Amino acid sequence: MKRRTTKALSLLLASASILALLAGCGGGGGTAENSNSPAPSDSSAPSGETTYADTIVIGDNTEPKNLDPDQSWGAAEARFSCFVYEGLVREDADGNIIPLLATDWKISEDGTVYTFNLKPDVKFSDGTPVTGEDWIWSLERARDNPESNSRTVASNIVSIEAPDDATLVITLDSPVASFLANCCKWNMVVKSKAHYEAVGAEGFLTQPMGTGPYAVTEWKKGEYIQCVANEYYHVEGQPYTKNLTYKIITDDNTRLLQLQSGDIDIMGMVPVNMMAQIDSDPNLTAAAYTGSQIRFLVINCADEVTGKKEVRQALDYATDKQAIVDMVANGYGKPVSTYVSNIHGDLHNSELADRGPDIEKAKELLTQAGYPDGLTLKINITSGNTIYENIATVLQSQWAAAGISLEIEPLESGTLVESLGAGNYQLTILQWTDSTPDPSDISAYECRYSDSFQWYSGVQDQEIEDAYMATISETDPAKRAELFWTLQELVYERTNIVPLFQADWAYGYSSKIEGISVTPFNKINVAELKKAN
Amino acid sequence: MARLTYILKRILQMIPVLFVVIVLIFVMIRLIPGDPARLMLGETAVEADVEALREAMGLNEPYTTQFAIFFKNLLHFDFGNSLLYKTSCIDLVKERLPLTVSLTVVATLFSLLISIPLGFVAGLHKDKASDQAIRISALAAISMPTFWVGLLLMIAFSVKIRIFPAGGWGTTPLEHLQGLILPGIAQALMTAALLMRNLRNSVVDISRMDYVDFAVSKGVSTRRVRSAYIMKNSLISTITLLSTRITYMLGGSVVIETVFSLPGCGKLLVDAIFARDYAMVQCMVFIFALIVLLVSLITDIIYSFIDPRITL
Repeated sequence: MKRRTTKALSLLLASASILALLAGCGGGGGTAENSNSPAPSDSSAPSGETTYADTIVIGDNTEPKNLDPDQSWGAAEARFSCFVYEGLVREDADGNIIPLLATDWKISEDGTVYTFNLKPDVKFSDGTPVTGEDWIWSLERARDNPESNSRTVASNIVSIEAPDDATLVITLDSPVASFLANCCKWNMVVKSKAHYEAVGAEGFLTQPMGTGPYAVTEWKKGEYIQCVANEYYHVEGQPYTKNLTYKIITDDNTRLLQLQSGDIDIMGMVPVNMMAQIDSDPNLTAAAYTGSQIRFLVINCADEVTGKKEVRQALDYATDKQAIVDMVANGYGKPVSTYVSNIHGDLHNSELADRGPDIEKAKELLTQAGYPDGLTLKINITSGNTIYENIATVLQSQWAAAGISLEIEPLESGTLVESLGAGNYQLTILQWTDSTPDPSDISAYECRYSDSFQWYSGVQDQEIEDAYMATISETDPAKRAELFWTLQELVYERTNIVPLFQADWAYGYSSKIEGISVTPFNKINVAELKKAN
Repeated sequence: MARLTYILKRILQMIPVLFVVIVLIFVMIRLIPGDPARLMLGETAVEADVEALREAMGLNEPYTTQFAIFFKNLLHFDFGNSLLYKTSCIDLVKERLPLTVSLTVVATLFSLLISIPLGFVAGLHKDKASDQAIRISALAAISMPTFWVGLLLMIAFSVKIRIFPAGGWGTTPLEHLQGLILPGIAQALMTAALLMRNLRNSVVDISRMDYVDFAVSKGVSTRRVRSAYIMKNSLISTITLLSTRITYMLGGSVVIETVFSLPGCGKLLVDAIFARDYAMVQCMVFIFALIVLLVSLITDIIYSFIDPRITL
């Protein structure tokens, strides 16, 4: 009997010691520079001077599907691509358009010809100079590649000419007021034609070649993308840090643990309920940046009940948007009353105000619509999305005061999208993040029936559609602002969407990081990042 | 010789099973509402672009044509290109399969290491203190959700006491092993508990058998009674349970892979289903089905070695 137990115990002990041995080998996770991340160690500093690390690790929650800007991209791809690819112009931290590879530009009287003066001596990360031919090929591909989901920004381009390597002339088929903003989009970047010809279409998906501050050296699918500084970068002295590792850690808790243990230096896409924890850690900094991401209550105007404007407006009156910001976004955001974000400056209609919370007015409108004793509505949201679920729950309790009983039905995302397209819903919650510094994208989605059924409203409002069409070609900024204000008033009146709140981008990073800033489109300025030792 | 014929026969039998699996998954994934083109371009894409993409992906063809194309390519082991990643499905799976399989192997080893000794001790000392303690810990292990255990292990051994990496797999085989230890333990816990209970009950039953009494009264040493008479016989039902648990661990690996940021197949499959990536789902389900069939074949062969009553 004793020997049996001893044997069992010794087996357990043996395995435990093997484990310990393995853990000990190779240093394990002991040092801050985790042996799992392929980064060289940092240099040691003589006392008194601040020296900087030669590697920074960024942790994100979604892996880019591919690195070819002319494919179907989403937010995850856009976040990474700005490290590698650049275009003529870009947006700054306030959402204004500033020069990047173009130094200045002239627009013709009729608004159809754009002449860009290009920065001289710009090279790709392999040292080859950027030529006019690269620009022409890149922008034509942005316009023509059928796999791309961003072709519309370039669809008005009729011809592109490069009379010399320092000038680019783009001719449009009609005046498009948002064209300069469209040039900030992730696909309007210069790609190396020679490189594409060398690696082929499939190679181009994983081996990008651009003029950005970093170049991709290794992509281990599902784990990380390793980048090294572009030695030919056109801004003297930048990027400040030699190596950049873009680690993909899907689980939010794991990503936070890695930030706390020092395995990653910058954590993106931080769930707002973790910000307090990051803030209280003396080695970490929690920072929120103004974002262009707005969440909307989307209403079906073809439905028997929600088709009545009084009902829709009643919902707006019954909603307390500040409470939603406080409870769902932990205060990291602000309520919005119009669908155009305030980062668009003069085009944002600042006179429109929140209707709610005004329960009495909501009840009045419901009575007018024929529901004096309240009514039951159903909201379908994407399952698994905690933010949408929280918003729906808050709305449910707010609307109960006005006699509206809300049923919440989560649906799997693929199924939900199908129901929306078929008009098979009453209410849903969706979000929009601008990717260009102009409201033309979101306006097209809200106002063009053929694009999206006017944001799944199911009923074509011709007045709104015409008002939108007028903004496309109006090149005078003052007149365009007036047109946009009118358009926003019309949408505000129609209430087929209720803008709820604009969310900040939440980041957590090591206190040793210097020089970090994030644009409203969630792009980190990697060229200026430094990490003190 | 008989064994070899048996193995060959079983491998041939796999083919019709796999065919049925293929047809089922082909039909089922297309019956679920949700259009891959629309999901790829996003909620905010225009109808015209979605339609163009559907056309380009060949989704507008009749199902029979789609199946014919798919089956023809299948014979060359070509599962087509993933709609999401645009590269060959089989290549993507080949990259990630080693991790999922290694994780399952490590988890199986851990569960055996934990459950066999403890199961024996519990069974042999029935109703004594050690038995009670082991059974209570088994119950606790079954009640804890895997992802929670994973996170706890990570907090304890990667952040507080820095022995293991906080997620990730590393580059060298040694780092691979280190990266799989915590996930392996988390994954193994429930299986270990179930195996332990099963083994304990087996041991208790077998200890009561007549032939054990006879062996003891014959004067066979306790050690030999335990190893030759009790151990061998109790393992059979445990091995059956283990084989079903391996299947479960293989399919349920997505949770652990997400928590520990391991680039395995589980996450690939789940993402493919959500995106309605038909080609990838078909490829992965086929491969998983193949693995499950192989595991059950190996289990049957092991039976024949352990139990001489079983002839193949």
